[in-house]
Amino acid sequence: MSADLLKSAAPPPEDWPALVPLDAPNLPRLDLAHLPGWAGDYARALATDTETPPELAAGMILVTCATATARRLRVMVKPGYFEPCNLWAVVALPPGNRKSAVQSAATAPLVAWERDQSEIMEPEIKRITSERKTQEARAKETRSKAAREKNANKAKELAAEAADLEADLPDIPMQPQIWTSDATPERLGSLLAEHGECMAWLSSEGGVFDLLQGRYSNGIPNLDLVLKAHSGDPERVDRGSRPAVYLRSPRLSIGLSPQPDVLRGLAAKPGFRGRGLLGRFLYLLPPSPLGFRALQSDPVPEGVRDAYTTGIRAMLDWEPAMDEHGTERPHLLRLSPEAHAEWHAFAKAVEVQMQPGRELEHFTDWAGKAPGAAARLAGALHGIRHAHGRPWEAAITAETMNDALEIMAVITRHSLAALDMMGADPTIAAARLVWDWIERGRLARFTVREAFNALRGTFPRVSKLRDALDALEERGYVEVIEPPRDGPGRPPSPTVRVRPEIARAWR
Amino acid sequence: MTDALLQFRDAIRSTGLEPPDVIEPGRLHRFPGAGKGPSNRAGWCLLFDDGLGGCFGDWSSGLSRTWFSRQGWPDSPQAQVALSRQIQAARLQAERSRRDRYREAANRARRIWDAAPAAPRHHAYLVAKGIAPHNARLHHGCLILPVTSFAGTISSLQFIAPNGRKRLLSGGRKRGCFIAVAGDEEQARRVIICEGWATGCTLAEDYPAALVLAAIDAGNLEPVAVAARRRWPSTEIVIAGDDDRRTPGNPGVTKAKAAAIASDALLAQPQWPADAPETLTDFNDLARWLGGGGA
Repeated sequence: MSADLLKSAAPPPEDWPALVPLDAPNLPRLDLAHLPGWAGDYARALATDTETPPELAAGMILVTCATATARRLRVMVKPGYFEPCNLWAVVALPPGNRKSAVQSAATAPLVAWERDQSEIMEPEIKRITSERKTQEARAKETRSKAAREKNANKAKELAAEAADLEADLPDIPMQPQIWTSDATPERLGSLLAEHGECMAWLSSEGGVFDLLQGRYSNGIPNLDLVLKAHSGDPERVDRGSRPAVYLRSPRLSIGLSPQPDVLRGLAAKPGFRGRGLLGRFLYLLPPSPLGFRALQSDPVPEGVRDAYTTGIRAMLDWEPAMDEHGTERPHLLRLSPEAHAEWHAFAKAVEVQMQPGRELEHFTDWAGKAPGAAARLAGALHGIRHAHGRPWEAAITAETMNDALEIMAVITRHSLAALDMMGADPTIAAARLVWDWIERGRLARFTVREAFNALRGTFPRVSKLRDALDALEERGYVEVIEPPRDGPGRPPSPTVRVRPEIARAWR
Repeated sequence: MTDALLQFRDAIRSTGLEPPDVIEPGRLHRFPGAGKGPSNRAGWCLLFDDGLGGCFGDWSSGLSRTWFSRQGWPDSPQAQVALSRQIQAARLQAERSRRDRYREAANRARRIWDAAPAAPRHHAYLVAKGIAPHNARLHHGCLILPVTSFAGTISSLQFIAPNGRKRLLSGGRKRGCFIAVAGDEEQARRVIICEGWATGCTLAEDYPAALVLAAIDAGNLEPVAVAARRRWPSTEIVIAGDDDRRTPGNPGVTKAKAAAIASDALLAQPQWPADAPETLTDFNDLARWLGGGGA
């Protein structure tokens, strides 16, 4: 009878480091305590109600608030250095995460404001439209008379009268619009011009990037206007068949919640990285809660929703500042000395990290804009704090700046990970290529030489391949086993061993 | 003795080897490997003709080092190239010597093996271990077992005296080689690798369908297991380790675990009954204890 001596046979216990995924490393979570008052309350309630990561609600609410803030406020970081308050945020989550629900809840006050403004303006629009039609008819009739008139002098007079009538045609006011979810860059220019140079581009999909890549312009990316609408630089759009559009200080906010795959694909889009488009976004990559939700949640309390709606509404109703020519301008927000000191310390820390060999070496396009983004964020948070007052009458405090910098600290980690996903860090990009090869072949074990022979087209030198393997080893994907030398001649190639639980899952 | 020669000897000693008393420049010397008996010749060293550099190593552990006196490394690129060639030549000489020795031992092993009759069932060691002779043969009263390479050739022999004392044929290759205890290598569906042949016999009797290989000692488990994985990439391999509970560092467990990890194999250790004495260390001990035979 068998004693079954080996019944305890099992994979040997091993001390592997925690697996740090290449695409979504262990990122810090965003603490909604840094979102003040009614905005923070609503973000918490919305995340609870929808059982979505707090980062999604926070990102969308911040962009909504920034849209309102950017209409009326800009931050003076120091004399001669100003930042508008518009923000570009991307919160990437896999499908099925109720991104649309969160986005529409966060932006609902913008929609309601547009609707209310339309209702308020509707009678005026109708009146002026009617007046214009009458005047157009009169002008048409006068022109007909001029055409029939035999007397040349009289005909000339009638023609001049018709021209005067046409010149005096009243402009029909536009239905107010403060956001869009689908517009070509050219149409975006017109929208900005028609609506106070301030708009939001909000979408729970990544189609925005297709539009920017030139879906409707034969694949030629048209980024100028969009890039300038981030920084608030003047832009003139001249198109042959349409009237020229001149924008003095366009401010575009963007809030996107695409799938992570959309981000992965951005690296391949020409010009996006090189021209600084991707470096302008603030990224958040929260973990997906799918599979861990209770599916029983508390709805957003009515009071919290109302406070959010009235808060956004109050911001949208701030009176504009006027310059000496009577033109609307954003109010200036000043930093308190303490707030400026905090901001300066952050900017200096970022600066140092951009040195070769430091953490932000490969992310200078993003990091170079991070201090500016922090100032914008502080402006938006200041606006939230003073939504029901006159925020331009108070300086941004150190407390508000600290909240902005805490949020930026989290966003920085997430943004580096997002840019990694797009292939910004060459070592991580190389590691991903090697891992793709390992995964395709389900290679539980192979030698460095085998990998080099298979990937020679990608890695011309073994040292580059070893860098990629080292990155995989640091993240707990593989172990590189150096074999002992066994006599003279060509040394044996190191063996690479895939993390056992991954290899077992392949079987 | 020159300073350089003293430094060379010190360099050899620093790796745990004891160099021979006499080292002649330009000549390959062999001496016991680290931790080996006086008859062992796994250690080797060669001091270059000029006495300013040399090579040494240990075939049993795979160690191979180059040494230079403080003035030994030349400045000019040409001289450096010449020195590199000298090092390479020394290593090749050591390797040739090792292969010659292996070949000679393999020939001796084959001659002894071919001439030996099958081992009787009543051999004292078999009786003491409670196992059948399996493939063992008899040579001057000792059991002899063929140490085989994965190429299928006998590389050495293990001799087991009636009192259980074991020794290997002098000069034979052991690293990466094994004693095939039982089973079909061509149709292997489950491969069990253990340290000793007696343990292998016990496991072969418990799992008649398995291919059982004995790696001879704990240090050889990993090379055998890794080579086995190369030979049978998708077959289940089980490392049946010893449990040297009373030895510091428990090399049986440590080496078996390392072998299992290196070869992507399963690991099995003896599961001792609560009342089993601590003198029991392997699956043969466990089987005999369970069978009431004591250990």
